Amino acid sequence: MLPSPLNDDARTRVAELYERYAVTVTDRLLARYRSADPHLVADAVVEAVFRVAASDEHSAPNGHLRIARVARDQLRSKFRSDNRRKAREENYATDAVTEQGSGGPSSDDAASDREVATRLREQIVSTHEEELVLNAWLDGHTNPHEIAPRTGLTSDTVKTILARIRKRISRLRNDEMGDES
Amino acid sequence: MTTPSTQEFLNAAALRTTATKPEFVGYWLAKNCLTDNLTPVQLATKLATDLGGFARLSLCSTPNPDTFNADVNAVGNHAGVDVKVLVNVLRQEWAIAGWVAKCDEQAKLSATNPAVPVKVSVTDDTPRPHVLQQSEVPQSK
Repeated sequence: MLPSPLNDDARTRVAELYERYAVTVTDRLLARYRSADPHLVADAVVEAVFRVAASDEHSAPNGHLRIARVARDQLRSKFRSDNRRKAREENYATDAVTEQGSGGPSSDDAASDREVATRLREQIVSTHEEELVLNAWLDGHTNPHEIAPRTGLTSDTVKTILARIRKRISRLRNDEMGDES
Repeated sequence: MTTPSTQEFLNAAALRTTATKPEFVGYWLAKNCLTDNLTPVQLATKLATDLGGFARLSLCSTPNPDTFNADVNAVGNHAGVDVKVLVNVLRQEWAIAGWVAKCDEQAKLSATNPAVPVKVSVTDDTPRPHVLQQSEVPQSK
């Protein structure tokens, strides 16, 4: 008996999901991770399309959300490994520089530091309001009632945002510790 | 110099990703680019499409040899490419892959048993571009 042909859906499922959602999801991720390499983001989205197409959720109406979630997770994991690699390289470079008794960091190192800081910031804040609250908090203001007038937000909103930021920082720290162990 | 659009980044990512997955047409298209020394744009033109259609085609499943005509028509029509050219590309690359596998097998045999000579026939097994038979001509769109 001849094997049954692939059904129409299976033959073109990945291509259909790609056509329908890839551009939207990529644009959204590029807006969110502004300093990220667009090739890296596109790779993550395409890989996410493959994963969602292979899962049972490919026909779910909110396919783009699922693709966006998988792609975002992939990007974050990629950023984390990039950050760790850069940190290792920086440690190595710092050691080498100290041994040579040379001066401050080079312009390349400084640019790399700024990139790491930007990526970390992007992992902590995702909206303009969160950015305002984070800036005030980094300036040393810890009381929501102090931060509220500086940011134009209500105290309750500041409280919620602070809690969210702390949670993300804690998650980042746990991830780092998990990677080290 | 223009900045590449999101679609261009995605097209490149689709081609990069499928080039390592034999279960997708993109793998065979990438191989054909190497075999015939073509760029993706040149192969896309040969397939009567642009790079967007080429990327969509690359993301379709590789046709099953047992249901080849139906599958190749479905993926070709979905991506809007010249199905006859696609048939030739796939058959050519499958023939080369089969030939390479056969050579590898023979080389392994020779390595384990020196009595078996390495024989690579260039008369019978040389892959040639597949010539479509009347029965294989896919239905027009």
